[in-house]
Amino acid sequence: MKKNNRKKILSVQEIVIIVIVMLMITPLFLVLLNSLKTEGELILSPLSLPQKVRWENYRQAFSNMGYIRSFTNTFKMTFYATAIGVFLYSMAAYGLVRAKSGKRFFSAMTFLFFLTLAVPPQLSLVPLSSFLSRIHLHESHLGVSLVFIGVNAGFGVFLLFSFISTVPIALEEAAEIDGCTPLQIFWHIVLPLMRAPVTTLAVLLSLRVWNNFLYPLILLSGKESRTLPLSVFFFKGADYENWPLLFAALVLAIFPLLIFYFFMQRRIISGISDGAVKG
Amino acid sequence: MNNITTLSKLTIKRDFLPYFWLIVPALLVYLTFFLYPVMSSFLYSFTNFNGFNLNYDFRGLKNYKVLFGDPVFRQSITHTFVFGILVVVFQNLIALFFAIALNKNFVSKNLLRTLLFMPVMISPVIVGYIWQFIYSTNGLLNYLLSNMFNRSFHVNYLSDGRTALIAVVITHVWIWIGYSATIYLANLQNISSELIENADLEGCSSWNRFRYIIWPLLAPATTVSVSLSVGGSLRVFDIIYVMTGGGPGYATETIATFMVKAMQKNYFGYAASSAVVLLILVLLATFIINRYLRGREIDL
Repeated sequence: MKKNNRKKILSVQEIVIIVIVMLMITPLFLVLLNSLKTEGELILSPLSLPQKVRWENYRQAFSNMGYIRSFTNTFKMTFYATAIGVFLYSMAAYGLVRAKSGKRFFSAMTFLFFLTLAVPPQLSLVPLSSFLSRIHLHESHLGVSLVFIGVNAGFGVFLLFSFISTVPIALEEAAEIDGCTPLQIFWHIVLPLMRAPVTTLAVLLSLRVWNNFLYPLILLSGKESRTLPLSVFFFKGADYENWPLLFAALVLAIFPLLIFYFFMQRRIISGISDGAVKG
Repeated sequence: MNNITTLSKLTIKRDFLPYFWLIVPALLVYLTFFLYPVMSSFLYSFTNFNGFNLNYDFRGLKNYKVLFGDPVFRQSITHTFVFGILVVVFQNLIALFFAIALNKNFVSKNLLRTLLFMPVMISPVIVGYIWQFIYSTNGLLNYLLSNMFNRSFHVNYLSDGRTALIAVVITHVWIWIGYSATIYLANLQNISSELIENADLEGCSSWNRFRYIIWPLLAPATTVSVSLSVGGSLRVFDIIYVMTGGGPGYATETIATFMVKAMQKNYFGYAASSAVVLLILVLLATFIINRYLRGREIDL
């Protein structure tokens, strides 16, 4: 793409697009703006600045939704599911791509992993809560994390699989002549080469887990084990129609993600774009 | 490559087992926590399993018979398809518009893409509540309409059976526009600018340039974005469950919300059979759409 020097001035076309995009994301500003108002003020003038800023809403929302507890729960679950998941998927993807004999077995296994991409996650839901309680992982964040690792396996293995296929094999062959085992080659040579796709995968996985609503809804029924999306969901039941208070809770729940997005957006965008270009 | 017929103990030990052990941990978790539950769902779909008691009875195809005799379920199939078609069409059209608009040397290009993508980042529960406010009796939409037309509007768009489904479609599309736009934008940036400049020199109108040059070259992105939106919209759950709970009445009930509600009533066998129906529909739709879209790519 050519750099041209005139582009520092906004064109009419660009201003139109800026206005359209701003209008599109008005709902997000609306939440922030109205989280600091009283109920009456919100209904009369949802678009004006608050007359008197009510921080009180935030204090109340923070304690009502058990913010610290829900945050910790979500963080724990996301961390397990992402850290363990990324490690298992990258090992598996490497084994599947580089296996030297038993090709037919390994392509059957690859197919088995990719099967998840077509199956709606709902289908695994029915037996899960009784299954988890039978193996004593009921109401446990580790248990739900394992469920996430299982349901995301196809996605994770798929993403790394296509990357490993593009890595030149010469380096690995050299290491093999030096007497390295496949596990050593994976650990010392392949994993460091995969830093970029592994980070992208970790970012995309943590988003999926952090925001997920369906699995925690069914598998974590206790108040103590609620994740952020769950405590937001149940928050409204308790304070029906007190919108400013609910909005304060929403802002609190969005906040950690916005920070994450701010630092990781290049990874997120490139992760999605790569998939598009490869098709 | 080693020939499978000459597999000796040595090659198994050296060329097979080390790689086998590498996939075992992921395979174990995947089999235990995904494939096993999925398979049991198929089994349970023929039983009266209540979620806890493992002494269930087989009822043959009875669950499926009851399911297709249930007017609510039949409605939810219709809603799922209406939802899916509207979402796929509008999500992709609007995303395409933004992708083309942003594929210029704008100063604000990256900022705009970041903003447009923001809704994807936010949990559907949160987005659902935000839009519930917009559609509520004293909400933003009525406020804007009242100011625009100088008379008061007091409709709750989510509790009116005529508007509820459209309202949730709009919210779902609003979330995913940024995602699809990112996919189209990545593809647009791969199209050589020479090709487009040549077309300009030949005196191509901008519509013809889009129709005969850009649109065919966007086939790979279209395949990805359309398939993702088909899968995502047919299995929609969160947004609807949060915004309407399937109501008013059953006006926004989809297969996925129907299924979760059946589980909450402890009709697990019944829930399993509706999940199986969902699987079959998703597979069929994805297969047909994919065949068509891949065919388009080859025609190039």
